[in-house]
Amino acid sequence: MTDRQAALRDIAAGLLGGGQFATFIGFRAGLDPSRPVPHFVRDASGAGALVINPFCGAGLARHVLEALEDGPVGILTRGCDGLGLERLIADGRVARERLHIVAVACRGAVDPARARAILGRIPERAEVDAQAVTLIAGEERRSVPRDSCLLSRCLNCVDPSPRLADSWLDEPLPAGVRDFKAVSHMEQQPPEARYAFWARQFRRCIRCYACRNVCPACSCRSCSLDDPELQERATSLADQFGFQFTRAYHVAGRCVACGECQRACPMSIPLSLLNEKFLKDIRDSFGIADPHRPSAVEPLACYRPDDPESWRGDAR
Amino acid sequence: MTMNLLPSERLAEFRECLAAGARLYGPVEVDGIVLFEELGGRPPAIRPGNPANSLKSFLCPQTEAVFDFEGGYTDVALRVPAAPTAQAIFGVRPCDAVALERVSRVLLAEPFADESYRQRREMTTILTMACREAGPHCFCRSVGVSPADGRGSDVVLYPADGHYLLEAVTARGLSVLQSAGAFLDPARDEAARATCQSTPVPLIGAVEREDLAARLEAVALHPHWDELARRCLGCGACTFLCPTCYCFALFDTVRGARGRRSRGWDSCQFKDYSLMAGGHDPLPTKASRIRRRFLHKLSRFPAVQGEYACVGCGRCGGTCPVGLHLAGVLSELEEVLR
Ligand code: SF4
Ligand code: SF4
Ligand code: SF4
Ligand code: SF4
Repeated sequence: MTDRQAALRDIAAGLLGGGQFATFIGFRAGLDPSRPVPHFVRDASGAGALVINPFCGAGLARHVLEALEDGPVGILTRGCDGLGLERLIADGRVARERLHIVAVACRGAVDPARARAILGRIPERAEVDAQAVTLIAGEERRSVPRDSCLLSRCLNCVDPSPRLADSWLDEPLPAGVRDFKAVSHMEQQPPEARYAFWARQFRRCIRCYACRNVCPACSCRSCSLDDPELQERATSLADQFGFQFTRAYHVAGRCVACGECQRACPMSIPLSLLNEKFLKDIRDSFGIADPHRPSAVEPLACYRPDDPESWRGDAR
Repeated sequence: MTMNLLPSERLAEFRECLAAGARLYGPVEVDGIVLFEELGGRPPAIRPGNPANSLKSFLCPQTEAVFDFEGGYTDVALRVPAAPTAQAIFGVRPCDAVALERVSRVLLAEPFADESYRQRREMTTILTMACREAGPHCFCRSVGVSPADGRGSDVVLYPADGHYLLEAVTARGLSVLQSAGAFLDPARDEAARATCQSTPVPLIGAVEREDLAARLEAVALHPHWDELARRCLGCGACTFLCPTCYCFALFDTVRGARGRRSRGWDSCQFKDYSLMAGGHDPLPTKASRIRRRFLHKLSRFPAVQGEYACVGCGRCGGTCPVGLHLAGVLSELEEVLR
């Protein structure tokens, strides 16, 4: 753990000291020890503030968009950050050669709210391994199952290490295969139950669009959601469904399942479940085993002249 | 003001009596999170700290119709929505009630009182549950609010073992106690209030500073605002959930010859929030918008109103996806100034 942190600080200091890189993106300690915050190091002497620990939960990929305006960027990158960077690169928003990717293998990030609920106070440290999470505060150490306090995206994670890397802080962990268990379960519910479930979720949306602002697949410079003629801002249930479907469809086929939308949502709406539905359908309809990983063939993003269905509808 | 004791086992009857003449709202747990919603007979989820949404949802709703219109250029017919009906909100925390008092200073200021807010405020009864335990991100006391504060409330309930001490703060509160007289015991329990007055509040150390406003103004141009801007997503969740943020925008949706003028929450954290006709934007960068949020709450609003436009409810602390909340930012600024 500390080895990785020391290595990270060295690499960041080296990149910034070399003069080619303007920013290094990682984490620094927050006011609350269980909530480190994204941090933007601007010169070599600042690298000592960087931390790596199991509370580092925020996704970092989306932050490169703004940081690149100042020059090339070094970035601490877990599997989910890596997929986000791949997305931005595939969408032509970021040039690979302007990034230095410092890869780290991730065993999961702790959800600070769930951890606090378990411990009854704010945890100061945590240790995460393949079996369990140990939460530590003062003299107290408590081991709990992973699914009781990790972020939900981490429980479904099959990409602990990034696929793109310029430096490694440790050995990569092997990738897995998504099982879509939660979506399959949802698909078996009767339509009325599914409707009731989503109505209950969407009803509480405050339309802050944090889900959009963190998303590496939502990187348009100007967004239809900001135009009241295109997306009514009213919050009737019909408007809420309209907005939620718009968001989900706009990332369908490009969502990398990084789970940032759900983590950022202040109303705890399970957005990942919607995204997963699209991913599962892409897997089943197009036979792509890992539809969340950006690739040369993205079925919802390409057009083939020999497509059996005419998109213009002129075969009517 | 009038004080009474309510035995804990009669709390549900007390609530029923409130629900008799008004829609009754309160905190409920929905899918693991606590929200203010219409109670509809559900037991309230009274937990340390605050529900995710604030009372704003019921007094200045997220969006509401100002009027519907129909017709051509010269013969427009307007339809205004029905006047609001009575509502009571139970289980409010003292900071949220104080926040209403702060918002009212702005929205009810003559000669431009906000008619829609005024009508709703007049139809709303606030029943506050004083805090015996604070939430993880609370810092009320360092912004001049107490866990036993009665400002903005009609009735305050101070929890004690086996009963609640009820205090009527307003004439409306007094009539609530009168109508619930059958459940109440005229005994007093001063200790119940004193206990809440001394409830420990976790984050006060991060905020409590002498000359907070002057210190902030002194760092208004510090480069740390740029660092904060790199981190901030500009989503405005902090302001949408903040009980003291009251900005709104008007927008029209037109469908053929019919349409609706609505108003809805706006946020100083949004790009183009302050964009003027002619193209000038006094808050053109994210750094300038974040700075504005902090200076407004802790320096400019107090300069005019004599109180902070933050009540220490802790919502921004629990919800900002990148940990850029009031207590956190103040402690960072202290750190960079050291
Ligand atoms: S982040 Fe959550 S509350 Fe905000 S717009 Fe998205 S779904 Fe709605
Ligand atoms: S939609 Fe959500 S899970 Fe998918 S890429 Fe965007 S933030 Fe990540
Ligand atoms: S401070 Fe946090 S909640 Fe507020 S706009 Fe920035 S990212 Fe969103
Ligand atoms: S600024 Fe934060 S702590 Fe203060 S009243 Fe608003 S949400 Fe609550």
